[in-house]
Amino acid sequence: MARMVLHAVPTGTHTRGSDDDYPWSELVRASASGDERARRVLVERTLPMVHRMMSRLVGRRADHDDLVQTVYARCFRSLQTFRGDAKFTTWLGSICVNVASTYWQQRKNHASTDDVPELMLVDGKSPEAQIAARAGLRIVARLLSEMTPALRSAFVLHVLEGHDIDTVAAMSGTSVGATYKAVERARQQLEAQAAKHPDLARFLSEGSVRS
Amino acid sequence: MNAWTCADVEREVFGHLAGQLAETDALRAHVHLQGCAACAALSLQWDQWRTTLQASSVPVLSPDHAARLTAAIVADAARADVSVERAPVRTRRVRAAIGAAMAIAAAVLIVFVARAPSPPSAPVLVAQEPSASTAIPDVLLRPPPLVETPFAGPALANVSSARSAAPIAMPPHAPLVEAVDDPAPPRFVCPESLAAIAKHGKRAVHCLEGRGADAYLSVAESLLARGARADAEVYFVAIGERFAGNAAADALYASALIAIDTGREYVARERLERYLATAKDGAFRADAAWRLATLLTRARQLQRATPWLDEVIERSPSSSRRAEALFLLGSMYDRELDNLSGALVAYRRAMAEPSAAPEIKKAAETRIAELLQR
Ligand SMILES: [Zn+2]
Repeated sequence: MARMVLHAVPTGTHTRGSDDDYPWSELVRASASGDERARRVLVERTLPMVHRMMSRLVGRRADHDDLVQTVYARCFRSLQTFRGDAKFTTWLGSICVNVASTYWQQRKNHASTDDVPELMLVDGKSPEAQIAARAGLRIVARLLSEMTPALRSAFVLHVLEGHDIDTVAAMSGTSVGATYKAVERARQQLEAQAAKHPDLARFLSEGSVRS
Repeated sequence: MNAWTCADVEREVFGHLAGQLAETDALRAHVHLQGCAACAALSLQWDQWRTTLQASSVPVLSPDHAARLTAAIVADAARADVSVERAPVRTRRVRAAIGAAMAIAAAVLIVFVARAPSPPSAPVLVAQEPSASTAIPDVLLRPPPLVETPFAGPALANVSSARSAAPIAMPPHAPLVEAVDDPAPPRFVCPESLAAIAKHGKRAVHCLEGRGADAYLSVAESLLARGARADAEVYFVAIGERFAGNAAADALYASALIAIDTGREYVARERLERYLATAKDGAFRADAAWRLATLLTRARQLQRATPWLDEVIERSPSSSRRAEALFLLGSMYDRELDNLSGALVAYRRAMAEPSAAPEIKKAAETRIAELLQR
């Protein structure tokens, strides 16, 4: 049944539009039943989100692709347990949070001074602006990496990824109240750092830092 | 409508900025911001900060990179399909590593030497030397067909076909000494990256102390990829010792495969027995049971081999494998245990297996005829 649906998925040089029209529920069902094409579409559709979210949650690291693959491995393995009453992206996001927190757990005893994840280059800016932005980015990256995983994921999911509090709570497996608190504490930490580092404050306000 | 306080606005500032507030809340926020300079400043500041942070934390994902990653993920999922559903993530990676271990593992070629006229002796399972005569014995029990395992892939298919062309033998006199304990004491500063740790081989296993099973696996994988099986074995053994659950069991199985491959049958047997004792529903149970049964048979420990043959017969998803196990069981009843009715049943069931190899069917048929004449 689920397989039949996938005959509708165009092969080879399909256009993004037609894949995007494909309903989530069918895609998930077909993927769970092992349909390779459905899985491909599902990955193509969600990879930018997972890739970005993992990057924001753990920083850009050498084993970043491994982490992304781990997310999908876990996703496909437990796809059958996914209940249609949740949004698929929320469910997938919760796997991201899980994988990230496992990662942090494992890193805990091995934090080294240069273990600060690198944030990414800013798109569409001049090389000078990018270089200038790096100082601010480094501070932000360090700050994020120093937050507890709970604070960090709440901040990343709510403020950077733009999910509402309920969704963030669902993804993190915590209560709405705890999520509000975590976001607030993360916000206060960032504000405190900005008060200490004028570079950071300027970077945050202007998107660049002049030295 | 209750008016919002500063605390309310602070709490909901991001929801407000993202336009996520319900209509009445949005109105309350708006009203408060109109009359409160502090909250208005906070809101404005975070509007800017949020935009900067969002814009500057979008990683580059080139179409090439995305395509490569997608292909890897989809292939990975296909490989994992055959395995048990609720295995933890580490298990997936152990499986991949075991796949690699199997790909390089020399398969044990077990030859059932039928002697006609048959004396009441045990079946003899011998390792076929690479240079051995090409004469095909009347019954050839293949080693566990690698292509039927969950990680069947091109690499394994190659190994499998290469094997049928030129069988790889297990050395007749296998060293029985466990070669993997006590890695050398640290003589270097532990590097941070896994790739660098892998370069030190088994000497660096202590560098992963406190890390997760995935770190051990990564190193084991890269060592396997490099053909450094003995070194990889140390990391698999370490996973088995330091971690619990399916990951540990599967790592134990991987270390058993490497032991088989390097001719340490005793070590392999011990590990397979431990795997079977702990992994009650392990993905490799049927395969492990088959390997253990054949190793025990080879070591003439027939009584100990029979429960594992039973397990293969019960559990193996492969009909041809079940036929082989039934045939081997029948031979034991027939020649060792003098249980003729048991032998007949086993031979008949072997013949009834839909995918029994023709030579198994033929041999079973011959044996049945012999038994009925007695
Ligand atoms: Zn106020």
